Amino acid sequence: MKKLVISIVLVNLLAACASQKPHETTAAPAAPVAAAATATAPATATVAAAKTAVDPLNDPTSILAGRSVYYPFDVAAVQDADKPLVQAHAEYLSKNAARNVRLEGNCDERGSNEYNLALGQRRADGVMKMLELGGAKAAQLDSVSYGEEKPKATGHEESSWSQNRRTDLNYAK
Amino acid sequence: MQKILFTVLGVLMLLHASMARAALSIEIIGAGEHQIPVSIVPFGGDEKLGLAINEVVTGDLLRSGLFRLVDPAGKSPHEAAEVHYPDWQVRGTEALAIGTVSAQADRRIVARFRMLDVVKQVELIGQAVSAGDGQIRAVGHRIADLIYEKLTGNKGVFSTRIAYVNRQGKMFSLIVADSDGHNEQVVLKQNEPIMSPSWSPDGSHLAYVSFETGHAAVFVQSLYTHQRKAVANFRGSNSAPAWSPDGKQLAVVLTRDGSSQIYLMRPDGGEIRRISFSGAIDTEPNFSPDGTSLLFTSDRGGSAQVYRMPVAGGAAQRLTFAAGSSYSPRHSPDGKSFVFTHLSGGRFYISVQDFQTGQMEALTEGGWEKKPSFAPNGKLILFASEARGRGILATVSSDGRVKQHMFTQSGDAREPVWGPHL
Amino acid sequence: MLKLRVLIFLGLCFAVPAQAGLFSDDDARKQIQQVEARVLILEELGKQQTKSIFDLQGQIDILNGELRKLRGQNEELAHGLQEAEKREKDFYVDLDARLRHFEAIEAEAVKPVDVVAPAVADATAVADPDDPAAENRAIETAYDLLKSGQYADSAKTLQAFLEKYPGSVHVSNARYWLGSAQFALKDYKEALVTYRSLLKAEPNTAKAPDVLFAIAGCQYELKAIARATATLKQLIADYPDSAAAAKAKKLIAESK
Repeated sequence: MKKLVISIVLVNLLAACASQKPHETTAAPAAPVAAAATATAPATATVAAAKTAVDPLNDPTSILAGRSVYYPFDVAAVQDADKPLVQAHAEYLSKNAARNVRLEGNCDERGSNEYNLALGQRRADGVMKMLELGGAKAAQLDSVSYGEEKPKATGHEESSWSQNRRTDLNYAK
Repeated sequence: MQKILFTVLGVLMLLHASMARAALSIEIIGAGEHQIPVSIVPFGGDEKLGLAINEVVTGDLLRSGLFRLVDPAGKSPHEAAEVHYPDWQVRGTEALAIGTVSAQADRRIVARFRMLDVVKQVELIGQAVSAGDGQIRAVGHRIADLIYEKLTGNKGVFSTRIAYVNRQGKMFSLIVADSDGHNEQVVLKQNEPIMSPSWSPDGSHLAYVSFETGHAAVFVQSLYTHQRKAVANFRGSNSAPAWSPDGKQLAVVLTRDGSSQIYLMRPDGGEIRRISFSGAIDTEPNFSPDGTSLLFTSDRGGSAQVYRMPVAGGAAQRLTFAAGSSYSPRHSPDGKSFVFTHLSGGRFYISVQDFQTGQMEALTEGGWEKKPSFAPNGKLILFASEARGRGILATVSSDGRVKQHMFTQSGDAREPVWGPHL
Repeated sequence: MLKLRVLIFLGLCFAVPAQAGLFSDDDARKQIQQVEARVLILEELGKQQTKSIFDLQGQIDILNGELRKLRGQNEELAHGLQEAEKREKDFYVDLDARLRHFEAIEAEAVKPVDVVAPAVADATAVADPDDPAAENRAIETAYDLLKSGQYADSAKTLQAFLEKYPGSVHVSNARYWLGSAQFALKDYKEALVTYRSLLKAEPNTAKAPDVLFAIAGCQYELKAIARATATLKQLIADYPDSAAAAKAKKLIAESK
């Protein structure tokens, strides 16, 4: 009996969680939970809002603030150092089904333009696959490659190249 | 008599001694080492047009590397009757080009041109070349083609066109220009990247990659009507278009089924079928002149190398084995060799490799050199290079002897490709 | 995760009063704690699983990379082997040619000269037109005969060679040597025909000056002095820098 009650409560909460999304478009990205809570329990709302008002995506101290994965030359596999970042984004996406992200692969200028386009696509697709494995839905994800066509840094040396060998996680607004 | 006999035999035996071993290896004949001395006299008639033609013709001939220009200093015949051959023989010139040019009432430009053999004292060419108003460079290129063809036996390529991409800040322009880089015409201009222009065999269309839809998609555009169509716009990247020699098929690289793989389709986007199945990156396909096989770049062996596979399908064979990576292969027009970009020790080289012997030869000293393509007569190679921090176009003769940087207005020139004979 | 916990807490905050009649606060708290603990465990498990999957994916990437590298090494080894086989064959052909050279000398030393001719004929008879080694042997034999002064045999061998291997890279040398052999045999007319055929087939050959000089020699021997002189003059005009031209100049000067 008690178990059943708790299950009902959880179902209620899940429903609240799922239905709050449309409210989310307010200027300050108020935490969806807080919004849902406000409607039914004004007394506790302020506490909750204070704790979760910021979408972790916009929290500069969150791991989610990192939006780029970097690679060695001619490599497309996500390096160990960047795996926690990808995992955090996967988790975020799995919990925020309405958020969409575009993976944008880039390369340094060594290699031919076409080869780099292919390599950038392989990089972006690699991150995309990991996000999917981590719980994101395929419909939330898209991947493109810019190859060496949109360099962040334009120098002909490693300090520029290392910045250009990356996949950016670009969330849809 | 005795003396002569002795001498003849002496010469023979001397020769034998020096040839004894060499005779059984490959004999190297210095074809192409010899530059033909020619004199081009600025055409008479309209002096300004004459000088303009002169500049184009001399520029074309010099760039080919096959000619040495002998200064006509002091002499300016315009008609065959005015030519005093000994004047030219003492200068060491072998062929003399003279003529007149004028603008007609309808503003058409008409040049009457002759080329004379200074040694045999005969006329080699006598021809009128005409073009519309403002097309003085076209007249010059046509004359240079006639001279080139008569003196070398190969078809000239000066009247052909090239395509390339110009990047200026965030603006990208797809440009078609004369073979010397002049007479630029903008085919497409946008603030998203453009890559990999490819000429249809009849020169009427360009296929290229544009990012205007947010990702790489393949477009085909008519150069006459300017009509364009996205022929491959699947998820991921769509790129590296290459025309079959009969113009009926387009090889493209798609990532819609996973990694970058080569597909064939009609130039209107129909009848797509996949022909490479590697799971690695397969890209930059290029048809052999007979249309039966493709060269392409693949990293299936851990680094980018050049491979060849039958168009009908079947196993691919690796062709490049030098240290480093190799990219962007393109067949020579005679199908006997291919040119490609070789990255080694941090430098890019334009290199050629013979299919039969497998011998590879670097044509350039190395630097930032990419994306080579042969002129339709196989005698020159166009590629992207860099000078003073700017992307420029450059040519090298197919024997590597003569290199030339080509003029572009501003910004970075990249992704050049030489068009067909028209 | 924090969010979810807050969510559960909040939900229970408002849910519990509504259900107050069913169970006590203590019971409810206990249950909440239990649920919370289980959720935490599940979340942790999920994270662990994701990490494991990422590790597996990483291993697949590494294996893929290794596979490509191995494939590349395999391609390179196969290529290296092919090259080595080709080189070995070339070495063999070269060695074979050298050995034959010595064998010929030995045979000459042992046998009387006139017995050599049939042996040579044999050598050419068994030669397979598709065998480059046989082709090389044939031309070597002919040249060796010429060098050792056996002009008739040399000429015969060279003629046979030209018939058998019309497309050989040695055709130019064969013609030239045939001319020399015929000249030595005082068959000047035939020598002239041979030399002229050489020039006709290869007008740009590097041997052209020497061939012209030889033609002049034939003409001189055939008493066509004027034509011989004209040929020498042509030689001087066309190839002014050649050694043959220098000799021609000297001859003309001496004959004056």
